[in-house]
Amino acid sequence: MKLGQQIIKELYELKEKIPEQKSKEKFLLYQTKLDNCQIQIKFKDIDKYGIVFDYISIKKETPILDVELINRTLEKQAELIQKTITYLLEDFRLIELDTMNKRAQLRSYPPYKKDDSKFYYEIVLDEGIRFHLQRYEYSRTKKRYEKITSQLTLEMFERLLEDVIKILGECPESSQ
Amino acid sequence: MIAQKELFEIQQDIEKHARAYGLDFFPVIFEVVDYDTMNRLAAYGGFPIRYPHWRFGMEYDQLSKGYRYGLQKIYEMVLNTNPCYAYLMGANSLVDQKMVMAHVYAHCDFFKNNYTFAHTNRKMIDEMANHAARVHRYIDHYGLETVENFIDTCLSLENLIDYHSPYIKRPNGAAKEQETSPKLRVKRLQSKKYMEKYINPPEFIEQQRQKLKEKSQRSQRFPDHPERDVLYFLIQHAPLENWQRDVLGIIREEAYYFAPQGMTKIMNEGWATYWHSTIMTQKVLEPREIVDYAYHHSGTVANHPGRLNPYRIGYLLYKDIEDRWNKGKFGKEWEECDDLRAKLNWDKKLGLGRQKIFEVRKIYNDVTFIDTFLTEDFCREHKLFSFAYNKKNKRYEIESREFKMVKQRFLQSLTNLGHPIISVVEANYLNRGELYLEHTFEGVELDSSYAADTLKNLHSLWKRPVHIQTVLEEKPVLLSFDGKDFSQRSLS
Repeated sequence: MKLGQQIIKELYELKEKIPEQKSKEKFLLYQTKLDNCQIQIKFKDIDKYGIVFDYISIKKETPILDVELINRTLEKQAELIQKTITYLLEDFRLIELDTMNKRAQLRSYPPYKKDDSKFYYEIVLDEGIRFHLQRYEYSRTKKRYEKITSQLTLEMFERLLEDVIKILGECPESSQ
Repeated sequence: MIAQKELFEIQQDIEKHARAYGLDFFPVIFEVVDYDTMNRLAAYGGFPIRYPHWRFGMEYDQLSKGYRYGLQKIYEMVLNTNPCYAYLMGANSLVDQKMVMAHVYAHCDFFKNNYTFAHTNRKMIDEMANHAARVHRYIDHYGLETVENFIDTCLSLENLIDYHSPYIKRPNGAAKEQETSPKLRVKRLQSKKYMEKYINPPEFIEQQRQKLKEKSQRSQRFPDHPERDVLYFLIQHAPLENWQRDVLGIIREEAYYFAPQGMTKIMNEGWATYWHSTIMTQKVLEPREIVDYAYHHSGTVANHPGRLNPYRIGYLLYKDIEDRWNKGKFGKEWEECDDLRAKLNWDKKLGLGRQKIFEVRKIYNDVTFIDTFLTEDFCREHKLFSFAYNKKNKRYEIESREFKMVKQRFLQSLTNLGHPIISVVEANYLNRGELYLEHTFEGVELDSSYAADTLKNLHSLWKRPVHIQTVLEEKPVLLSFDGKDFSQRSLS
């Protein structure tokens, strides 16, 4: 079984354990260790078509110790994300490579606009070993940012997980 | 050098007179020191032990050279502690020592009674020694250069505190929680069911609900209100190591300890000068000392070109207040009198002057002192003027002798100790963890080189891009530093 499929199966199992009414009200937190990666997904619902999740966080367990290598890795990972993850209906663009905090930030570009709001995905790459995806809404009237849920079909979700794990896994070695 | 015994007798005599006049002070311990010790203590802000830092050495060097070249001399130094420690220069003449002691007792009275000093730590000598020990420990652990560089950064930001926060009661945690909780239940008036829509109209209830909603959304900003104590904000939220947080806390604590001295410079020095003058001329001076005393006192209250002498202005204002309240030159009748002759000869023989100045020294700071007691008559009598840089002539010139303008400039220079008012308004600017500060523009632009250095140092603590909104050439702009480059963006 592919890694993405296995995670989806486990998400189903987790959801089934929680009584239906409770699971609709609250977010569920899924955590696992697969393929040298810690995976954390906070999700609201999953069915046979798609998933509604708050965030996906994936962290490789082996840290990179060389600072220069971290920055090269971040650059490479950001580039790969921009090239690979093109199926979320919003393309990604590198907003900032913060070498001081060893962090790269990518956002949907252009963001999706509706009425007075902008919606965008944000990916934060930390130290070349951690990936975090979250969707935000910026309301012009309220003048503030809010975390919102993302909705993906299961195919997209599976592909996303596999791509991310691949990107996290490949970079450090290839950039040396 | 005067014998210790003689000094002790003089001290007792002056203390007796000071108490008789109504001055109320903590016990005062005098110590006679030579000029080198005095300069060393002065460089340390009067404290025997401070944390190690090069700026104290620099100040010592400056003071030593100033003394050696005959440019300056410190007659005394007094600490706001309980007991008050005061240092006398050993080389002072007898009349100087008398004057200085009287001056010190008035300072001690001011420290004890003025409201701005009420929150200060009276055991600050111990606290400073404690700070020094902690910094020494960090130096041993992390190295001199690392710690000293960090202290440099903190010191460059030490004026970014909220000078008035010790005197404002902040809402407590529980109240704050209640305020920010997302309960949107609108209070309804009690009514019978059939009267409900008249007593609690649905439109009104909806309107109130919207208001509550907006309020709750506003409070979700971070910080939920502009934070003027930038150092406190950094201690709480900047990604600092524990030792850095502690050092920043030390710098902040010391800044708050010294702040009241800055906030009452004119009042404090004026009060001390008033009392040394009163005690010396009415009780202590001997006929043979008059000329020496007059010479030194005139030096204290002399006008110095290019700067304001706080001793002079404070002293003259206390004298003016005393005179006005003695003669009843205040209140509605005085304000409404437009007969110049009557005003000139006004004397209701109230004799309230002394009582009034004691009240003033208790409940005012420099800003409120000048705002309340700097009158048009005083301004005219002492020929006060405001000055500004004339771009055409490329030099500073008298700008105005108009009372309103002089007072406005004066108050401007004293508000927030003459420092720009800066607050943290947003710590997650653009949803990217960037720090957004706002300069409350009150007519004076930020000095661009200082602003750049401040942004740079803030960035080194916050570790993310830092922005400050200000006004340059009458247009709102946003100055930014992203760790590499400075940028400026118009906000108009």
